Amino acid sequence: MKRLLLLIMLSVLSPAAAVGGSAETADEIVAAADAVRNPGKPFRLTVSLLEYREGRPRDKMLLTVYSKEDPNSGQYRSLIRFREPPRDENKLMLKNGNILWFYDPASKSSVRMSPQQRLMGQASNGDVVTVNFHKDYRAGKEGEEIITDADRKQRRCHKLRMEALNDAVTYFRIEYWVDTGNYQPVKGKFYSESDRLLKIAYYRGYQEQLGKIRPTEVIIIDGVDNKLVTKMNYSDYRFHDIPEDWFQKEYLPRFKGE
Amino acid sequence: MKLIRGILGFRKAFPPLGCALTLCLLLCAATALRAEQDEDLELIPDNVLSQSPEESVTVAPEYYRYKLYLDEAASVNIKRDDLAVPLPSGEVPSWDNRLSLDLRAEMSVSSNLSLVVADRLNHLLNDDPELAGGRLQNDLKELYATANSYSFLYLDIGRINFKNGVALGFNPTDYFKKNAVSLRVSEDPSVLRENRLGALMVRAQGIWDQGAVALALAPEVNQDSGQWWTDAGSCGLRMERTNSHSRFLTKISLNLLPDFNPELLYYLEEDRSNFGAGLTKGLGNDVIVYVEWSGSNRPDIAAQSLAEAVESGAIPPAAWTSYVDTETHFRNQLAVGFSYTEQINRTTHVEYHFNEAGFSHEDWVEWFETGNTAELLLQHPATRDLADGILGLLWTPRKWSLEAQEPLSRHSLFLRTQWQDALTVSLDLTAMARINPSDGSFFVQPKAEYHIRKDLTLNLSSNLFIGSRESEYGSLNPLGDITAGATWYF
Repeated sequence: MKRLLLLIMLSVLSPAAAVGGSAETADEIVAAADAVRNPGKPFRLTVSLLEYREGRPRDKMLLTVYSKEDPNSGQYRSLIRFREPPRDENKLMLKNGNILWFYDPASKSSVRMSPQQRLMGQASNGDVVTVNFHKDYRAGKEGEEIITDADRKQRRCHKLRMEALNDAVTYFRIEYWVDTGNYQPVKGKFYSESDRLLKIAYYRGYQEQLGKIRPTEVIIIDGVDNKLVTKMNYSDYRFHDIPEDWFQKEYLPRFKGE
Repeated sequence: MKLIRGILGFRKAFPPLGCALTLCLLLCAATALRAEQDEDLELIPDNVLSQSPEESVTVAPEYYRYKLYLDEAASVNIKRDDLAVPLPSGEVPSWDNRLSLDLRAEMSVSSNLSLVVADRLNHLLNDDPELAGGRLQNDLKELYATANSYSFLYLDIGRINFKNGVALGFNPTDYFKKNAVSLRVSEDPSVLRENRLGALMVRAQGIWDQGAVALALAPEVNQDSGQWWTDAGSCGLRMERTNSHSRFLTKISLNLLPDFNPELLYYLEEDRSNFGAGLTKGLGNDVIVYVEWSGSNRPDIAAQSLAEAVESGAIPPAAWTSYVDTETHFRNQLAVGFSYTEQINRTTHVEYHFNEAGFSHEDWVEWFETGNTAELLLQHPATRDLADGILGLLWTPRKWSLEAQEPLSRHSLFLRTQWQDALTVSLDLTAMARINPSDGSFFVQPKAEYHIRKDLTLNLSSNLFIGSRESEYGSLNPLGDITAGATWYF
């Protein structure tokens, strides 16, 4: 009886121990979760951001994001075109590593931005652009947990603790829950250098996009003001041939769209 | 740990009770962990979760794109009564109203050829009786064709707004900025850039992984007034402002190292060579530092402005030579600064500007002394014409520095802070200041913008020129203004 109780207890607290664990490393799990979120080839997608304050929708933005992996760093570079609201239409943001440029066709000028500067309401630049977490973070396993996902379903997840390997990242530390069965990211908690909770993100709306089941919706809860919620929807995924010069600052005035 | 040791000790003493207690505590811990998970989920309002996913947005291929908006601005001017150096002529209106229709469009003619047009039609009105009913001013800012070959080579022909520079408040390497602003709708450099005329030019550009090279040639156009390309009337192209001399610019941008991407420029106007450079660097997640430099053999602002006034016929030849130093030598211009972004998304730029051709403290003292003399001469009818002439000479460099978008003083400071979603939702606050550190005078512009709808923005701003009577900003008329406006995006 004592052994049975102990087994139940362990299965509640540490499912990994109950199922015997797995040989994959935490970094491999993060890389597998990255592959769920990001297609391996250059692609574009449409991102809509809808901000809610106490459940009431307020600002909406529509963006087109073009992303391509840098063969040297393995990290994504992204060119973002603003489509809505009308006042921001056709403005561009280029993110190449930690270098960000903002271009406004009205003034024909490119202004260098810091990674902390946000142009999309409460969503940070790092939330919108494509990011390979396994390139920027060192991960460690913290066991397995059954958590409730945003659709109120129980998911058995790897719980991972990820710490930044460089200063070029938006978040210093991440707690990350990845489904043990299919490596789908379920939830993330994102922290600042002072270990302040900045964001909580839930990944949902898994659909087949570009040959794989990928999340099409991310719900972000502001860690400081938790009455503020941002819903990001990804749609119109397409593989897209993106020339290298698109990631040059000098190209921004030349960008014509599609 | 003490708790665990306590439980273990309790288990040794009372084995069955100890096991039960351990189980209870661990189950409680598991429940608490799940409760925390659920607490996170409870933060998401039900309607956010229950709303069906947004419809997929599919973007069709674009053959054209445009942005069109209507901008209304009504200003009340606060006049300064006691000017240290009177203005030679012209009254400052009590109020102004401007209604502008702004269009920017790009059209693809073929896969390698496209057209760009940017135009602003202004209706201007103030309390000047001669302007009853207002007047129209159309500014064709850009109209050019752009062709692309071998995917990395571009050729542009037409009226092009070619902007350079990494700084915000003063761009020494923005060589096409002089006289490009035809209507000074704001003192904010980022607003002025949206309202400037391009120069007629041919521009070739190559963009590679390692960097980019641009060559631009802007020819001199016939300056005869009354031509369709020079006419300053409602629909004139005002090319005498942008193409008064033949100019050539070459710009090289290099991607040498990660986050080391210098820009090098060479600019030739008439027989005067200018050399320029610009560089930005990120420090951590929240700071950007930048520097922009230009140097050339040139006279100081006073001599250059007066020489150009003679050339244009505004003042008689040689009337000014005794007042200024006409010597030409290598003079530097520098803008160095940083931007800092706070967690609350407020970004502040701080810049130091150096213009070696600008007024030194001694030049300012001399300017006010000469102005005081002119004011005395103004009292006597016999010397009034002479006084008017002197005042005209004195105000020429000040007007010139505004048109050339160069700081008039040798040393100055610039600050600009922008706070998005400040205090409340959809409210953006901006404040800008230019400071003359030698006399303590300053210009300040607070501005509030409220995005009442996604296509409608209301704004309220003020320009204030503060300082002692004999200081750079305290000697300007008007003292300031208050402007209310709205922008409606179609």
